[in-house]
Amino acid sequence: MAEPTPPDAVIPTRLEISPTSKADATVLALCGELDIASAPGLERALDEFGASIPRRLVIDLTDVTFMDSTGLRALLLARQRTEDGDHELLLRPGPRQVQRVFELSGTLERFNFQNPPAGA
Amino acid sequence: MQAPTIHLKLESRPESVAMVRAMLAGASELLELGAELLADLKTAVSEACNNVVMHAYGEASGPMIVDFVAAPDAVEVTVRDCGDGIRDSAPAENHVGVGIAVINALAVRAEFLTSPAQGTEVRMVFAYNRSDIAALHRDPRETQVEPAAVVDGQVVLSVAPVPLLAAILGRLAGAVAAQAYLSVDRYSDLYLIADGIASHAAEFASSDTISVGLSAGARRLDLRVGPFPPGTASQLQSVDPPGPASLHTLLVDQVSAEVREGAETVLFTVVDPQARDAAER
Repeated sequence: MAEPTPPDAVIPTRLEISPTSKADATVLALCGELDIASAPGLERALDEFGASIPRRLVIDLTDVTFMDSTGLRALLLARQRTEDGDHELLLRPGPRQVQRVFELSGTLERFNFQNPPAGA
Repeated sequence: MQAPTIHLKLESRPESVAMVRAMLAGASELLELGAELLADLKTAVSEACNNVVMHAYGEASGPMIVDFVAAPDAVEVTVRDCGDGIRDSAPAENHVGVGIAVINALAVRAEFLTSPAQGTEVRMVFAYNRSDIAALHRDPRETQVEPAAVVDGQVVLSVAPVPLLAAILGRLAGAVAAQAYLSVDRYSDLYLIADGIASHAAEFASSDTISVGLSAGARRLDLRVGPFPPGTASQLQSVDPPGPASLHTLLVDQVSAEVREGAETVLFTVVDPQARDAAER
């Protein structure tokens, strides 16, 4: 059962992580700022998969309003866990600021980016 | 004529970095810096702040100080701490290297100064061109943000000239309120309260610099604002009938004054009704 929504849930600086499981993939949709305060939340969400990490994991950055190097580190950890050949990590690109962090850190090539399907 | 200046002092905690970005967003809006420069500022300044949070005080926390100056051809942001400097024993963590690379890529000039006695300072200069920026000054007298602010709080903001406050206080108060678990209603009231405080500050402030100390407690937020001429708080309380300018005094739960060295600091306290209900039960 869902817990009552805390009163701070609307504070825009918080990161919301919404998982959706489909037949072929699990999507983690992120909304808000992926930064030094919220990146540990993403790392915990990844920890919760434990050994049963989905074969195809999609992290959707479309609604990430800000990302820093600690957010990037959480995504690199996700990549590390899915690079054994049996798993696949796909990122849906974020806004310009987010994509720029990948570019400036030289990590753009280390991720597979997926464009959202038309009309989605 | 001096450039618009902002001084922000906070605790080096992960949650504080979003408050610094809130300040940058407010300043950028008022000074019309543009979306691209704002994104660069947020990205680079956050990395400098992250380093303070993660490395300046070991496992503990301490002061994190951010200074922002908008000159006609450049924005300069300095992030400082009072820690032990970058220690040789600091682990060569990858994200620290990434953070520094990001700062170097976005700033036209970045300096990293560190010493065991004086902590670490990262000074970043971002280029842009706004020759009219000095026109924001109503008064060309010397404008100086004093490092020793007249107010105290968990977060202390000082701005010069005073009208800068209007753009920054609402956003910053919102970010600080996140720590106080204010309800949605009180959270939206904060913007009205901040607007009211900023308009009073622009009218009554007794110097070119205005300081606000923000402290979040258990479901309450205190805003200490000054310096004002003595009598400002009672003037705010006695507005009758209340007009639009005093709207914020109707929304705050308490207004009180403290006079120190001939100047008054006004304390606005915002309490969440839910917290009050819980206490009355």
